Amino acid sequence: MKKEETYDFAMTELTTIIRELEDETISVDILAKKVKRANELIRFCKERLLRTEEEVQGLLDGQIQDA
Amino acid sequence: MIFQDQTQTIYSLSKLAEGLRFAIYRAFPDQFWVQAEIAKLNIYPRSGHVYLDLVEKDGGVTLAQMRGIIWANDYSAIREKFERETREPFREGLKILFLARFNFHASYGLSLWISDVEPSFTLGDLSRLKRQTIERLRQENLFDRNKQRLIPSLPLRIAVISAETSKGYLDFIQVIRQHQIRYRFEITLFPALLQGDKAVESIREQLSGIRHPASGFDLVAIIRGGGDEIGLTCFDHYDLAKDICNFPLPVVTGIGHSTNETVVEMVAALNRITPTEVAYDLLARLDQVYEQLSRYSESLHTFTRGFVRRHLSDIEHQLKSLRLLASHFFSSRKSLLSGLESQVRSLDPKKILQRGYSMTYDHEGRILKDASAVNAGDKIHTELANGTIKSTVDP
Repeated sequence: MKKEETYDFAMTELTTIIRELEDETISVDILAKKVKRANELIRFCKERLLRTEEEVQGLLDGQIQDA
Repeated sequence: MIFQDQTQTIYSLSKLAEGLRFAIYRAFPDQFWVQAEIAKLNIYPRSGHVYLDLVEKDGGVTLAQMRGIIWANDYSAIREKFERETREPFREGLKILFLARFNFHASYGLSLWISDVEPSFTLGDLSRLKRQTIERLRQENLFDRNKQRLIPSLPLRIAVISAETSKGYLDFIQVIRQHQIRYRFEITLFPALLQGDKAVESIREQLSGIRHPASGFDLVAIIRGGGDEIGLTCFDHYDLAKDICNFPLPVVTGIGHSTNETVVEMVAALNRITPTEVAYDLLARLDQVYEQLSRYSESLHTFTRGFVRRHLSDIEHQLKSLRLLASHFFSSRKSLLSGLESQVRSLDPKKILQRGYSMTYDHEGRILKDASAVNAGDKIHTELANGTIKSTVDP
């Protein structure tokens, strides 16, 4: 994954890939490549989502302690 | 020629004096009442006899003057009665009504033997003077002037006019010292005489020193007490009372006596009977401010506590919504993502292979979809879920 890629970009790419995968006429070679890419994107998005959730959770918990 | 007329009688001085004495005693055989002002009063320390210069004045002009004498035997009784009733020392400047007879001495001349003095006459004269002072101050619109000056809410810098050794001053200082811990008083003593005829000038002089605005006092306290109550008419004096009226700072008096209020006490911004009462009055004013500030501080605390509590619960409420929002945010995205994931997985060709399907490629690696695309002897390979089978097409 390139560093500058964001969650939103990744999600856009992922949905595009899935739309392409659903096309019956796609060649198997391309299919395999696309699936590989889709899996990468899913992992990236999952990681980003989990990390952000942890961060947000940490911030909210910190607020309680300050108060 | 002087001695030509032999019928002319020639007197010796003593004969003349004798004749004069006789004439005077015949004309004034008994005692009589006289009113006059004491211009001078000398007590001879050795004998105790009192010699007076008695005058009658009209404005500034002396109409008559005569010498008087009170014998030591009579003086102590006269003086005691006089001071008890007038509360004023028997002194120069007073108008008196006295019982006297003429005394003529061949060597010392004419004088009045004073055997009694009527104090009520002097008392009447003094109260007349006091009334005149009051009326004059009223006519000049001065009487209430110092009363209109407000005692500051924090009377801390006090100019005291008193006598350093007077009990009244010591009482005042003692009360102030007891409360010095809470309030930072700045007491400055301006020593002065507070009774008798020198008091007027002495007090006025100290007032003019305090008067300067740079002196920075909050008020002036004229304090006296502990001494006898004789000689307070100085506080009825017009010049002194006028100075008090016109004084730029409030004047507080604690002169300490049981008789009628003097004019100075009447015109002062605040009058208390004793110096101790003056001190307690000032303290009460400070206590009032202190309590008010304490109340303000308390309600400020209460308000702040309430304010913080209210806003804290607001914040907690917001935080709760934020948590809810975050949890929705992440769970919706997670389920979207896992939906996409399973979609991708179902489209993965490997998954199809695992169900027993296989893919066959020609020797150039192209996937085979049509059996007629190969000839006998062609090398092909088949990809399974696990591993690859290489084979040759049978003829």
